[in-house]
Amino acid sequence: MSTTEMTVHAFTRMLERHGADASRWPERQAAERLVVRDAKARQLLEEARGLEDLLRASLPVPNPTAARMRADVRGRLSTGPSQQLIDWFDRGPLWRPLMAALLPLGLGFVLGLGFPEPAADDDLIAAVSLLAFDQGTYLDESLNASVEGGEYAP
Amino acid sequence: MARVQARDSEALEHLMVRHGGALHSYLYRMNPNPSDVDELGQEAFLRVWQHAGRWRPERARFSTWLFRIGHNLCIDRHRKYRWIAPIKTDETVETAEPTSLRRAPDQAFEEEQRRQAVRRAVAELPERQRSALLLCQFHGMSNQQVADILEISLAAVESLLARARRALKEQLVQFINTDQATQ
Repeated sequence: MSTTEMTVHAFTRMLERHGADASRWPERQAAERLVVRDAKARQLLEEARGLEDLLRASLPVPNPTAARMRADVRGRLSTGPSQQLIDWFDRGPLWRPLMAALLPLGLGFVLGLGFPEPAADDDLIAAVSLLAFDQGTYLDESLNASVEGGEYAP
Repeated sequence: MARVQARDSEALEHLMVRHGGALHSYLYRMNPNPSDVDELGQEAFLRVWQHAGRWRPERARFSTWLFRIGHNLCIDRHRKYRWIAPIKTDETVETAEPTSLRRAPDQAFEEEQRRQAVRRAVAELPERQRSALLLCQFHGMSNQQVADILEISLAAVESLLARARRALKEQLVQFINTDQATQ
């Protein structure tokens, strides 16, 4: 049994942390002695009880539909793997749909890494381009010479 | 629960009968959209079925574990859809007031206003304060059980409860006094 007397300040703290139900109070005997001798403590207790009564009266809940819930759970337990996969993405935390969205991106990246280095192709293209340029210059020169010689004269 | 761990679906149904109502009430008060509540309740029991092997009786009571699953689903739902549902004034909610005790229209109007003020005040509490308060107030959970469900320390739960009760008392003081005056 606690022999120390509880202060109103300590009683207020206790009410805020444990509520108005005396069976939940950690220092019940000291608190009850305070309530008997102190009007302020009685008032605080009445207010705390009033708040709890108000909450109980104002937050009713419809009767749970346990039978429907059981039937729904039973139905979902018997679904196939494809539905379970959809559920896994759809009903889980946010990272799951995000992962699903990023999966094609990651797949493309991995596939891209699998292709050969493009440098060799670039060299080949550059070489062919230069060759075409050289041949073009040669053709232009031949054409000019032909015109000057009167081959294309009207 | 041992039978559920052995994949006995009838045992799961038994658990749903025994604990489904309490879980439903908690989810409803946390997230009072009936379609969401049904879905979250189903999901919680499916998780129990899927992860039954993870439950350890020496670490937590089954109800504590179930409420933790339900609470986490509720938080995930809030984060996923980024909305805070106002507590609905649902006409289908049973107020447990028999016809013979129906009050005069003025009094009924005042009572409805009071109910709405309480629901609004509770809905406006931060999520963890609301959870802690509802679990203690309506489900008879000890502060330690609430700490286990919310996965926080006992001191943190007591702090949440103190802040929640202080905030509600400040906001609803007029109704508390009215109640006392009418008693």
